[in-house]
Order: sequence, then structure tokens, then C-alpha cells
Amino acid sequence: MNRARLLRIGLKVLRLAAVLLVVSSLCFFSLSLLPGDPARLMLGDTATDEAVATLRSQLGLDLPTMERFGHWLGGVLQGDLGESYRTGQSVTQVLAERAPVTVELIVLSQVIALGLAVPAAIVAAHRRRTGTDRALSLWVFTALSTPDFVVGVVLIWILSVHLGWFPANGYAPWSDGVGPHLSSLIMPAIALAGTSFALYQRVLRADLVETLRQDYIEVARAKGLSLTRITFRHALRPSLLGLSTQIGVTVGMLIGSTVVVESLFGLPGIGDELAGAVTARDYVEVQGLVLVIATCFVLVNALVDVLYPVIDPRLASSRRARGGAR
Amino acid sequence: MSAAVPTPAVLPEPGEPLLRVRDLVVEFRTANGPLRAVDGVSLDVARGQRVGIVGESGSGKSVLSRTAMGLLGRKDARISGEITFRGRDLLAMSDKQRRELWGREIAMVFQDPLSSLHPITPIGQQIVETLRRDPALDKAKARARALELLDLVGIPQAERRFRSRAHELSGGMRQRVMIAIAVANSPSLLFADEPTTALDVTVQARILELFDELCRELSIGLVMVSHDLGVVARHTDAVSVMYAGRIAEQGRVDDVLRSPRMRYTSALLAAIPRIEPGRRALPRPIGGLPPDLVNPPAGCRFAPRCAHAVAACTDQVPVLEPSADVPDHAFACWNPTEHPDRTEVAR
Ligand SMILES: Nc1ncnc2c1ncn2[C@@H]1O[C@H](COP(=O)(O)OP(=O)(O)O)[C@@H](O)[C@H]1O
Ligand code: SF4
Ligand SMILES: [Mg+2]
Repeated sequence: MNRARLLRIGLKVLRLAAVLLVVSSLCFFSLSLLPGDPARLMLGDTATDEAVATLRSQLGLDLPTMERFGHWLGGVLQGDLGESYRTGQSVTQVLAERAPVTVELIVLSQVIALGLAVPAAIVAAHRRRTGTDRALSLWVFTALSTPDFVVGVVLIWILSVHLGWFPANGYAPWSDGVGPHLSSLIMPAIALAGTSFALYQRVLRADLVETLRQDYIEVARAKGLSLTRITFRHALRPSLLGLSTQIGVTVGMLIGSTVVVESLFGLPGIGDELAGAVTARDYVEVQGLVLVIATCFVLVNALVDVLYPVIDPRLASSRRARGGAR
Repeated sequence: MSAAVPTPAVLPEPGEPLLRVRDLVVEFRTANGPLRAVDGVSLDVARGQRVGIVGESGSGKSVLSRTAMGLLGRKDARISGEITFRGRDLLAMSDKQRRELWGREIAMVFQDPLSSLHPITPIGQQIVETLRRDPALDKAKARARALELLDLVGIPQAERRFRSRAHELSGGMRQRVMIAIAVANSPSLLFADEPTTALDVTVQARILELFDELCRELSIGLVMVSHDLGVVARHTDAVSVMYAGRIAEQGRVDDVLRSPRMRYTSALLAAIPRIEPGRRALPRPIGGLPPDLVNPPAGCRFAPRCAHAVAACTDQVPVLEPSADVPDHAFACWNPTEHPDRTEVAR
């Protein structure tokens, strides 16, 4: 049984590696199809063709695509993500500087999204098809259909320009103090949280409505338990599977959204860096960032997968019963 | 009621039943119009008494018992009539007051024990949770008491089973756990809604015996809902036969099932195969379908299916009235079955 389990884990890791390889190569080859030449972009329109050609060979851009990919992949396997054409900085170092900002932004946005979505889902599920439920679903629908940057602009306009509570732009590191640091992150986090909040509220509300119809909830009522206890001790946990799946998927999407939000708020995160790198056709850097982002996405979803049987132990036994298939 | 002191097992005053239901009407609003699931039902349950409610599926048995317990309230349906539990008006109580009774004074065992138990929480915890309704019981005491209860309802290796989850137990074991939960705080009134319908026949009998034992030992008043006349015949003292939301016939089990008067009761009895000596007859199923409760037929609701209907049946509602010879046996029928040998059969 233990060997079967090891085998299952091994297979899973292999599968993840395959996914990452496919993502990297897709990214690499589609980038090389894009018009625009990094050497030309770096030197500007006035540079001579010779200067551009020299730079191209210095950067290894004159090599065939396949060879460049092999070279890059070899580096990756040794933990070297290469160097940015633009700055000469190693991509690993760029990541070390910028990833914390993005991770913090995403975590904060998820705390906000869940902090609002869970209570909103509980209230809506208990009062389904009442005015409260409809008002909440209107809010959710609005949040879902408003692009992040619109929320961002509105926040800046109200909270920064009119009320002056938070800076409109710029990033304050931890070293500036907790207050300024959080102030610089709170608005982008709210802007980023909108879509997640909406998705989470909808999924959890639907699952809760289903759970509240179950016989064991009626039994809990017949035991004379309070509504609070029924909600949190009986109804919530069996309703979490859909939400966990949604979180896994959403966090992947969020990395894309950080491009817009970080640019709007001037945060030195990965999204902002990625936008710059794509514009400059900085292949190596784009490659490195995309690989790391894809890895994070894959890991988050693997984590959700591991969490399922912890949330609902029935899944663990049904997996065992299926003889450990995947 | 003070929460800290468990209410002593006071017997109801003579003449005052534990549960008293009078002229209960429960009407749901549906897309097709109001649906009267329960129509003018009256019922008494005394301490230690086992009362059966029988009828075809859809006759309103579950709605009646859930309303009588208070689980179905004025928020869910239009309710009129009277429900008194130990002299207190249940329909006039606040949600909080009713919740105070549930799980302590009144409890229910439902039909499907698998879906009634929480799928994730271990069963021991589900019993402890009910016990902890009594604030005087700390965790350790509640745990010890839960183990006793598992033992009481006949679950072997209680210590080990304590941590099991519902899907790891057999159907019979699950229902035993549900019963342990229901009787955890020694309620005075217990509803059991088709408690053995989801179980194997072999397990059924043992579960029903458990109910008998608990009622006797803890002097619990039991309302046993079933569509199975055999179950009611063997395991209850009094019975109400329901048809389309109304009481067709009620009285002591011996009287009602041995000398049925209302034609629906006789038809029900004729529909079950019997192997009693001298009464061997092929089962005769009742033809036709129960009526639509949104547009019920006028007069006796059984009339469209009744082989003995007379003119009055289709235009006047038969009144539930005590029979002349046995006053606690009541039936609602214009053309009742006659029992010349009645006094003999009914002792
Ligand atoms: N919540 C509800 N809303 C509308 N109709 C209901 C509801 N609950 C029960 N009914 C109807 O009431 C009638 C009696 O149901 P029920 O008490 O469950 O029957 P039984 O338990 O005797 O099989 C059925 O016709 C059923 O469709
Ligand atoms: S009242 Fe009439 S229709 Fe109804 S059961 Fe009696 S005889 Fe049949
Ligand atoms: Mg029922």
C-alpha cells in the first residue's frame, strides 16, 4: 500500500513536470513567432544594422530557435534562468526582488475576497430567494463584470484623490513601516479581490444551499443546535470542495490580473516586470517569469488536490477504494 | 425551564397527555395553489405510550410529525389548530423556546440513517454534541455518557466505534447511532419517521425492539410513523390511520387493526399478505391513486377508490366519531364495516 502511494506521488510529479515543459516550450516558440527584435528594440531606431547584428550574436539571438531553447532548458535544469537582455540582471535575482511583492498582493487580495465571500455566501444561502440574497447576487454580478483596473481607478479617485487616505501610486517596502507598507498594498489588493470575491461567493453559496437541504442539517436542527453552530460545525465543511477548486483556478488567473493592477498602482511586482519584458521582447526574462508563474499555478492546484481528503475524509476512502488510480 | 437542572420526569397530570394535537391544519403554498397536507388532525400521546401513524406514502404522516415537533413552523406553511406539549402551546413559542425543547425534551429519528448522520464528523462527536446541550455535562463526562449510550443501543466495541464515520457503519448500526442521539438527553417525546424503512428486514425487527425497550425503560412517549401496518401492529399501542391528510380511523391498535370500521383501513389490511390461520386470503391491492391534495375530491377523500361508497360519500365529509360500542375507537365513514363478533375479538 505504501509503495502504491509512492508510485502515485511519483506519477503526479512526473505529470507536473510534463505540464511545465509543455508550458515553457509553448511560451518559447510563440514568443519567437512575434514580430520585433530585442536587439533592435534595445538599440533604438537610429542604430546601424551592423551594431544590431553584433548585439544579436552577443545575445545568442542568431542561433536557431531550437538550439536556443535547448540551451535555455539546460540552464533551467541547473537552476539558472538566464539573464535579462535589457538589464543583464539574472532572472533569478529579478524574481527574488519582485516575487514577494506579488505574492503579498495576491495573499492580501485572497484574504479580502474570502473574508467577504464566506459571510456573504452564508447569509445568501440562509436567506435564499429573499431580498438579501438578490441584493448580494447583484453585488456579486457587478464585481464579476467590472474589470480590475476600473475598480482600481475608482478606488484611487475616491480614497486617494478625494479622501487622501492612501497613496495613489507607488510601493512602500516593509522597511518603511507596517502602516505605509500596507497602505501601499491595500487598494491594489481590493482591486484584485473583486473577481475572486464574486467567484467564491457564487460557488460557496450554491454548495451551501445544497448542503442546507441535506437530512443531517434537519437532524442538527432537531438536536436543538443554534443556527451558528449548524452553519459552522455542520454545513460549512461539507460545502468547501467547490470553493477549494475555485481558489486553485482563480489564483492562477490572478497572476495574469497582477499585470494590470501592478502597472496601475506602480507596484514593483512580477506582473509589472512581465509587462515590461514582453514589450522589450526580452525572451529570456519572459521565459523565466512564465515558468515560475506556471510552477506556482501547478503547485497551488496540487496543494488543493492534497487538501480534498483533509476537508472531506470520505474522498480519502473512496480514493483508496479505487485502488489508488491517480 | 432552567437549563442547568435536567427536568425531572414528571408524569403528566391524569387526563393531560404529553402531546395534544387538535384540529391541526397544515397548508403549503405551491405553484398550483394551496396544498393541505394535514387537514384537521387531532391526536394524543401519553408518557410511555407508543402511537402509530399509518397511511400510504404522501398521506401527510411526515408533515404531521414534523409540525407536531415544531420543525415545520409558521414560516414554512400556513398552520392552524393546537399543538400542546406538556401543557405548553408549541405553535405560540419563539424559535428559541422551541429549540430549547428539541434534543432535550422532544427528539426525532429520521428515515434514512445514512443521510441523517453527518458525513464527516465522527459519530461519537455527534452524540457528544447532543449531550452537551446540557451545560452541566463537561467534555469528559459527555464522552463517557456517549459510550454508555452506544452500549445501550447495542453497538459493540463502543470505544472503537466512537471515532467511526457514518459511511463506515452498516445501516442498522447507523440507525442505532441515530437512536442514541435521539435518546441522549432522555426526551419525554420521541418521533420516529419510518425508522426502519431504509433497513433490511432482518435489521428492522431488532431496531423496533430497541424502540419498545427504550419506551418501556425510559417511559418515552413514541410517535411511530410507518406505511407498514405490520410494524404498527406489533410495536405500537394506539394507531391513527391517515388518508390524504385526514385521520380515517384511530384507536387502540387491537381495535383498529382487528375490527377496522372505515373502509380504507379494511382495504389497507386486505392489501397485506397474511398468514394467520383461518384468515388466509390473497392480498388485494387498493386500486387507483391517492387524490391530488391541491384539488381533493368532495366528501370522503377515499370515495373514488372505495368499493363500498354510498351516495353520501361523494358529497359529505364523513366526521371522525367514536364508535358506539368502543368509545376510544373513532372512524370517519358513511358505510362502515360491521363486526358482529367485535366484542369477542377486542377482549
Ligand atoms: N415543503 C412542502 N411543500 C409543499 N408540499 C409539501 C411539502 N412537504 C410535503 N408536501 C406535500 O405534502 C404531502 C404529504 O407529504 P408527507 O407528509 O411527506 O407524506 P408521507 O410522509 O405520508 O409520505 C405530499 O403531497 C407532499 O408532496
Ligand atoms: S365514507 Fe364512503 S367512500 Fe369513504 S370509506 Fe366510507 S364507505 Fe368508502
Ligand atoms: Mg414520510
